[in-house]
Amino acid sequence: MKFMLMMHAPKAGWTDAGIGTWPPADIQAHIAFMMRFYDELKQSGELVDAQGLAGPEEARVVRADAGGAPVVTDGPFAEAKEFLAGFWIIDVESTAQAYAIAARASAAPGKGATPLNMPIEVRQVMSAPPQE
Amino acid sequence: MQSRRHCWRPACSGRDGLPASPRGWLIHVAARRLTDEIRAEIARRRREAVVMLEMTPEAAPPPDAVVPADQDDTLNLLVMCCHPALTRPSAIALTLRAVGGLSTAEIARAFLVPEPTMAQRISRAKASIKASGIPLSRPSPVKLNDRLDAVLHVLYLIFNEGYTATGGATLQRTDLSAVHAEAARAEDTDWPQILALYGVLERIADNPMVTLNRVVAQSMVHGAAAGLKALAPLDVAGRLAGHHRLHAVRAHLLERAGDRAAAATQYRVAAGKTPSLPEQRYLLTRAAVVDTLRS
Repeated sequence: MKFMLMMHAPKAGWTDAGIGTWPPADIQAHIAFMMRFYDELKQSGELVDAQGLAGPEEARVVRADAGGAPVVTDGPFAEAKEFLAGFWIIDVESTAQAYAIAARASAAPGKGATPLNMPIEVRQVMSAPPQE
Repeated sequence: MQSRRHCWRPACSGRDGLPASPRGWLIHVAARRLTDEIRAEIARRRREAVVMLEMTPEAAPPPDAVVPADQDDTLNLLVMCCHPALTRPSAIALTLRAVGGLSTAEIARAFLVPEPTMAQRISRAKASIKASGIPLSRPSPVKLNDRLDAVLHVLYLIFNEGYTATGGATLQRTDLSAVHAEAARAEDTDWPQILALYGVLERIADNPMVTLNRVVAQSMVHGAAAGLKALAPLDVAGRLAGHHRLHAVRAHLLERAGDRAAAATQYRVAAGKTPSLPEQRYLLTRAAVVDTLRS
């Protein structure tokens, strides 16, 4: 079963708040954790994909105009309180396993090396019916 | 650099009687030895190029032929790879493969695409060049001039990619800045010469990255304050305004100039704008380090 695990971050002052305010050692510890987590998922064969996304200021919204050409405007995050910072796509045997992996991501270390216990959104990736 | 160190050893072996000018003799012998090695390397590359680009063998000289010093096949290959029919990404990939000697897997990793995708891209690029019927020979001055813009652009894209990519050690091999490569340590870099080279390059290739790199060289020669002053007009208008590298360079210069508060802010702005995850992590860490130094 495939699941997408999504990490959201507070929009307000993304670089002034959160990771932007931690001491260098804590930033390094967080990065090291994320890299180790990625490797562990790769080793266990559960990783499909994992990516960080560009910051909210770099987001754009595209709509097609009458002729099908792209009309580009600023991202949708002006009024939003949060934005999608990154995601993992995992392939696991059960929902319980998806929740267990999400809990590991949630416990990533933050300031003072204490676990962040941040909320991780978990949604199943829809799949085609099994081949007969 | 390694080639040069290697060549000193045989030249220093014991001899009967001292030459009139031992230093001159040492330099002369080492230079001859280095030239021989370079010629052998060029011949080897030419053989590899024939195979790599699937060209007809009659285009290449016999394996043991002495290639005249003014025919640098690396340059020919580079000019060929920067073919106008290729898109810049394809030209870069082909250049890294044919000139840089990277494997397809390494190039795919650098571009964060699957290996089969990169293999296809390089195959298509090779096919385009083969279809163009251009032989592996020194390009005419007219042709060289046409391609110069493309060559410089590809070199700078490679240089800047190598500077920020995760696969640092691999991509350092394609660092075509010969002056940088001559320095045994970063502190020994001949910055005045680099500044002069960038000055020339800016006149040939109108590229905002060249301008930014020239400002960096300027700051290394004339100081951080001079660099910051040179940066100011780049922000106002043009292709660099709001670019993450502009903020990153400004941040480094502010830090060197001692304005740590402004430096931290600029590092964070750059971190928010860069599309490179390793670069973002570096910039955030740098901001935090600067903050630590302030308190």
